[in-house]
Amino acid sequence: MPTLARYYIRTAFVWLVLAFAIGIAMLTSQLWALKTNPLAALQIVFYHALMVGWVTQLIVGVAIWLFPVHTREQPRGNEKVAWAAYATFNLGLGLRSIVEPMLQWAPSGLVKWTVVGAACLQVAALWLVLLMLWPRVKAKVSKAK
Amino acid sequence: MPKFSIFSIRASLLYLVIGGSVGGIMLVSKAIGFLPWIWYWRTAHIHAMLVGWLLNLIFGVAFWILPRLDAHGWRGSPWLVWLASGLLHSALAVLVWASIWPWSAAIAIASSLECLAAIAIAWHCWPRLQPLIIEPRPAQNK
Ligand code: HEM
Ligand code: HEM
Repeated sequence: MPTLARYYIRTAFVWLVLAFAIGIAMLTSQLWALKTNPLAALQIVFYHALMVGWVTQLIVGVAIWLFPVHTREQPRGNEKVAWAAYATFNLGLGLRSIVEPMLQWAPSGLVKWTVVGAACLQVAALWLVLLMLWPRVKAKVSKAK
Repeated sequence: MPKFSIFSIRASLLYLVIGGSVGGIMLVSKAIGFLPWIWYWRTAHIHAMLVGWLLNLIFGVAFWILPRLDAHGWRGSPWLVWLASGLLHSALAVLVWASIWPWSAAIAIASSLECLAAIAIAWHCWPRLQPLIIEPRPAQNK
């Protein structure tokens, strides 16, 4: 399995574990019947940890590994794009998971603009994923030039 | 990769980036109140992601990679997967439309389309979900 794919897939498993940890914390916090449960702010973080961090990242990792190769010399296309996608994807989601609930817990100018930054990173990551995978969705291995 | 899979997987990637960009605008809006009407698109974001991205991808990869039906690599008639995909795209169009401009019949229409899409893709995949069949090639008689 290429190194790139291993990074994506292992990080996906980290997000799976994080998502469950958040889920457990949210469910357990209901035992105390608080009037307003501060952990309710984590619902969106939970969903995206699961759907973006785990499901989407796992899919992208497996696609890097198993989709038809780009060319014989560059089987996975430009790997710089793939690493940039990996970095923005996880930095964006990680940052967002911290600052999005802070909009409810402790809003401030810094928090707001960090959320904006996290949103930009997340969107950039998806466009990089498109750039990386689009040429590999094709009929056959391209011949060497 | 066969033509149907190329179409379906590329469509799924487009849903991922377009639906994700809508999500990004919502997140910015949540922080700084930018473009508040984007929140009408919340349901569209959810369905573009869960149906547009994940289901189209699954349809494309399933057609590509499930066990073939004979030694020539026959995947079965492609018309069922094209039908499933057409129904799915129509359901999505109705859903996206209805989540932005709510419209009560949309749920009945979109869920019927989606249900038919599910039947069509299941019908196609069913006979392919089996151990690999290694048949002798027609030339080499037993
Ligand atoms: C660039 C990446 C993404 C961004 C910036 C984003 C942003 C958002 C935002 C702002 C919301 C509304 C949150 C709220 O109601 O307060 C939302 C909801 C949701 N998104 Fe995303 N999203 C992204 C990717 C995805 C992906 C890839 C999936 C699924 C495969 C997904 C599934 C969902 C779901 C299920 C909800 C509803 C959550 C709930 O009701 O608690 N999102 N997203
Ligand atoms: C064509 C069939 C479908 C129809 C007609 C439909 C319709 C709807 C409607 C009307 C809502 C409520 C929207 C709102 O409260 O604003 C909704 C929410 C939702 N749907 Fe669907 N849906 C369909 C398919 C799916 C599928 C296949 C999935 C998942 C794979 C899905 C996941 C969701 C989720 C997670 C929500 C919750 C959104 C929220 O938190 O507000 N839907 N759907």
